[in-house]
Amino acid sequence: MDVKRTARRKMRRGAWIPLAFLLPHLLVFCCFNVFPILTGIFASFTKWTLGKAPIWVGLENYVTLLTDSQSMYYWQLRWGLQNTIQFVILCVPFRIVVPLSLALLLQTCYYLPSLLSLSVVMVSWLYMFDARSGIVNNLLGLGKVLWINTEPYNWIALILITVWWGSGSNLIIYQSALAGVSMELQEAARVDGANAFQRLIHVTLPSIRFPLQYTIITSVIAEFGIWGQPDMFNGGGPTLEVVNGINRQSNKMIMQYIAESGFGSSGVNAGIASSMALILGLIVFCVSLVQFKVMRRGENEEG
Amino acid sequence: MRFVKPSRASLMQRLRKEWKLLLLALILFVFAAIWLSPLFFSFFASFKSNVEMKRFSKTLNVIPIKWTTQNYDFVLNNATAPFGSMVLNSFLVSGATVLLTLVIASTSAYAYERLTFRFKEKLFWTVFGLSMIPSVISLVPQYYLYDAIGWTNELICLVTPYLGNVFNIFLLRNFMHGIPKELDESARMDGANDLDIYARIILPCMVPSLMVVALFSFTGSWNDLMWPSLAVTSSDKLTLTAGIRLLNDSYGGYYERTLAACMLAMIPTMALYLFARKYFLQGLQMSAAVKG
Repeated sequence: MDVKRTARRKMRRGAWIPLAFLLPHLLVFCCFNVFPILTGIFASFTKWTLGKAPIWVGLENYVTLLTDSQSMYYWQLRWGLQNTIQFVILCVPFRIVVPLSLALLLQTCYYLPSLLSLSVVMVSWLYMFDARSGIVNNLLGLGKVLWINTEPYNWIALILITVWWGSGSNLIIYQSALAGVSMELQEAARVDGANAFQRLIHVTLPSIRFPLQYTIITSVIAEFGIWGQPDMFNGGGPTLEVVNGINRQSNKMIMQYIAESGFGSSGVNAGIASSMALILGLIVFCVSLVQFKVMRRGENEEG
Repeated sequence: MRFVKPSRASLMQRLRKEWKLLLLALILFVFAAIWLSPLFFSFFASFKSNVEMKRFSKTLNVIPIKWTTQNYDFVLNNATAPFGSMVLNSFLVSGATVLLTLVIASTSAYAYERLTFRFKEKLFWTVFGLSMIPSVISLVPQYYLYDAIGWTNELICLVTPYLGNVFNIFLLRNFMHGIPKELDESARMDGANDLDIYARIILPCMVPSLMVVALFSFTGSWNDLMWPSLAVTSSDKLTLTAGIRLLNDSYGGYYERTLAACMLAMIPTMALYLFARKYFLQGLQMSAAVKG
């Protein structure tokens, strides 16, 4: 009893110590992480141009984004999201399968590209894919394929580059996970007459399901935020069609539209950019939540 | 000789047995070469002249016929795109990010792991939960925040967004959990206060995990493209990664020049990886283990 009381008194007296240790992080976290998020949520309900005070407009931004087909932003959200989702769907499977098969073969030098900055990666690949003097067309004898601005080549190139750049960390994770797969289990399956493919499906993959789940979620989140690859590759690609005087570009992603209306020198509209960002954020959040739920359920069923 | 024959036979036997393994190694080697080929092509191209680059479709020579360092000279001495200041900016930004991240993350990890105070767990999980909000939401307001306090076009706005990283705290806290509490207790007996324990006992024990945090915040900061490209507009405040994006535009058809800049830009992270490969691999495994 006495010990407890003195301990409590000690704690009260020393309350500033935990605070002192926590303060640096809480300070930067609140100022530069939480505060902008709150501002972003607020800004999405305003009309806000650089240099002027934001004006509260309620749900107007969202109404514009979701229903007003006369507005540029309506189409930007639509096409940007459409392209981004298409990119995620096409890209993520490769970002899982390519490093997983590499890890099954075990080689660390495949990690190297992930150490490079995206701008270095993009310059290198722009050179590879250059129509006239590039490596790919000339060495593979493909003639003059315009990788940068014809569909579907621009999509193929973007996904190839992203998988090349982004596979490294997934690879390392699979590698260490595979090292932990029990050899006895593999051997038992072999004795029972399972072939290599069956062993992969029924023994190897289930034993690495946690790292798999982690990499799928992180890859999906990362690819929803794609910006640098299309920005440096072709800025958004060729125009596919014109709707209400607004150009639809082949591989322009939602992050590019957000950056354009939030930062661009012309037509800055921080309010509507914030609304677009919030819609994207919600989608990313929901997708990861659903993935998480689905995988947890699978895990429970297995036992 | 008695000894030669069996060994030779066993060699053949082993070869016959392990030709599959050899074939696999060969395939791996070829595939690794293809995988890394963009880097090799870029490396060779950075030593070619513009004429040679333009004539590639006829000559098909990957390796330069005439090696030249003129592209490197151009990149290093081009006054309109100051390469030296980009390098300096990158080192300043990444260095500051690493140092501040280490201090901020380790102190608060210490508080969450070793100290007792009210609402500790609640506070930790609130902070952790808030960090789960997709960061795209704060992208635009962040810019206006720095604009309002006059930090856009200042290097500091490239540092502060990453200092609040919660995952580092999570990682360090987990690692700290493995350090025996008896060490703290005995130091406390000897009259050490919390700052002593943190600085003299906990930190020295945590060097491996601090290395992991340092490496990942360094490469993350060094390789960051989007935020510096959007937040910084004046060319003397650009980092190398964002600078190369602009060089790529301004050098137009001169790939060999931009590639020369790229070759220089990847030296720091490559060197770090070579020297600290162990920590990189450890860090990735730790992150998957903690989050999964």
